[in-house]
Amino acid sequence: MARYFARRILSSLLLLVSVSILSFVLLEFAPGDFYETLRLNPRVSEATVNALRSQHGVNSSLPVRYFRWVHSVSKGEWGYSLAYDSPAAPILWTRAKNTLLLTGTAMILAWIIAIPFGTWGAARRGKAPDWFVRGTTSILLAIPDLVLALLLVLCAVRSGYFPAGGMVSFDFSEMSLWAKFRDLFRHLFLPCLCLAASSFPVLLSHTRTAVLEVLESPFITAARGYGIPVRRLLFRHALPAAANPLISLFGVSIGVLLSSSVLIEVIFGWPGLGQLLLEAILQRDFFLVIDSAMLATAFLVSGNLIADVLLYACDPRVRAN
Amino acid sequence: MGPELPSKAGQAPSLLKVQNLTKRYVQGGWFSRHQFEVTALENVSFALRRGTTLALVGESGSGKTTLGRCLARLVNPNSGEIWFEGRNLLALSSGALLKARRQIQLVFQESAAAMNPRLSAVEIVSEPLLIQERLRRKERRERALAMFERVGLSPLWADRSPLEFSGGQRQRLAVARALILDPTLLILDEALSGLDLSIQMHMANLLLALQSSLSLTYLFISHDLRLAAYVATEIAVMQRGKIVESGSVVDVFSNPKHSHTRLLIDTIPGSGGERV
Ligand SMILES: Nc1ncnc2c1ncn2[C@@H]1O[C@H](COP(=O)(O)OP(=O)(O)O)[C@@H](O)[C@H]1O
Ligand SMILES: [Mg+2]
Repeated sequence: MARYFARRILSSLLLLVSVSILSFVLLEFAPGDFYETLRLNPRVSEATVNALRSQHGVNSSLPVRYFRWVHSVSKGEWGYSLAYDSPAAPILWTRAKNTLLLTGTAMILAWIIAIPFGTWGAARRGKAPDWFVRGTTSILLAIPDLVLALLLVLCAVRSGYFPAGGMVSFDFSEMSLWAKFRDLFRHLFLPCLCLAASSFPVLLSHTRTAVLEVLESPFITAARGYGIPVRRLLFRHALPAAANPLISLFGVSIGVLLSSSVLIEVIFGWPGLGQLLLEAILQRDFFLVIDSAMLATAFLVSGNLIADVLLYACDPRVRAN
Repeated sequence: MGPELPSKAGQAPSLLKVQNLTKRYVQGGWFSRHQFEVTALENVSFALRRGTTLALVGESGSGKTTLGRCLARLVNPNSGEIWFEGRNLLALSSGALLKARRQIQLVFQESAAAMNPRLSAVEIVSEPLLIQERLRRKERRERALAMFERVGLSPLWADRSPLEFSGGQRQRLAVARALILDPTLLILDEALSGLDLSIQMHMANLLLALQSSLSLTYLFISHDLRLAAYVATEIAVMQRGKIVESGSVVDVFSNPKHSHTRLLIDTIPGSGGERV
């Protein structure tokens, strides 16, 4: 078993290396560089731009730049952001933390609502709770994220209580701890709601389907035959047996934590990695783009690994194989 | 109390009396115009005397499983009555139903599917005790292990997964689980189908021994007439949701009245029927 996980980790590392190389090659084909826009400024001379280019190694060949980047990753700097004129790592970490705050909260919110409701819908199949669950799923699935986000922004502007964008107010640093918390909460609420609402229907319908499938299995019928109460039936027998597809889905939710919020971040002005990535692409801020892609891939791969470990820990049948 | 159950002189009174039981399933899509009804049971009536075995035979889809599950109150019939020890099972409060459940236990054909693979063998056998008697863990285990021996399973297997058991052993485990609550009526739904012939015979003998030592009443559901004749004293033949013929095993086999019964008897391998 240890061998299996060692192999999985090794192949994940290989994947990351391939993604980094691929990103470098792909960006090589993208037209322009960071200094393109600088040249539009009549006060900056051609010579100055060229001097800047060679100073930052933009002109070097692809392999040279790649190995410089690898070297800088090993130093923990993760390349250099030309736009911010600073090593990329500190910028990335701040942004990634902000994104994780948003997406992590939204994910936890969506899961802790989806599991009981999906289970409830499955347990009362064809009855009112089930119709409620299925109705909510279809409605939320039918509303595009963009429309939902814009609606919520509208609400924010109209209500006046929720800020229309950003993560904290300008006077955040002077606030007391409790005020800081409230301020952050007010900023977090709408984007988080929007993000949770976009993943919620998927989680809800998966939970419902998974539990429903288990409830129809003969061992549940057998347990009903000796009079097992519904609560024990659901939580001791049905949910653990339904866990496998849900664990895989959980792995996916972790995997997209860094990449699922680009749209929401842009609309709500959330200073996260998605927004940074968009800026970096538009400005051709090379290393930030590569690093963002690497981080997103790393999360995707880790999500998968975490799901595998959980499956192994939870299912006696997986362990038996 | 229910109607006085008819009992002929010299015969044990009925333990179970079923009257005009009807069950219709709705099959098909979500919308009413795609749906259609399947009548799985149509006005089924029969009585089962204490300590006897009634074999319920019939081709696949004739409604045997549905009948067994109605009796175990796992399926709700559309109409009819089920009188068990003088009480109408269909009119019990949920508390009384929970008590009644321990009287009627079911053994399923697919024993592997009918057991939670996450539980160990001893947990499977002892869980009914947890629900019905709230015994402590140690006592539950002791009672379960005693039942292991009763059905001929080694207690050394107690902590294994049921998935490690062979088909025959797992069926013993299923019987142990069904008997742990000390039931009166055991419904065996194709419990021996899918086992090798020799194991079938072992199991049939085990069932007969358990019946006399624990004074059990059996409803033995099977599509195998030979096995039914070996185990049962009475037989009821089902076809398309109805009981088309019933009586003592000897009478029905020696003088089948319904054409479907004759067809079933003729198709028993070795009966000579295939030559026709
Ligand atoms: N849960 C169910 N939903 C819909 N139809 C069912 C269900 N269970 C059984 N049936 C139908 O009822 C009929 C009788 O089935 P069953 O009682 O399983 O027969 P048997 O056990 O004799 O093979 C069949 O036509 C079957 O398709
Ligand atoms: Mg059947």
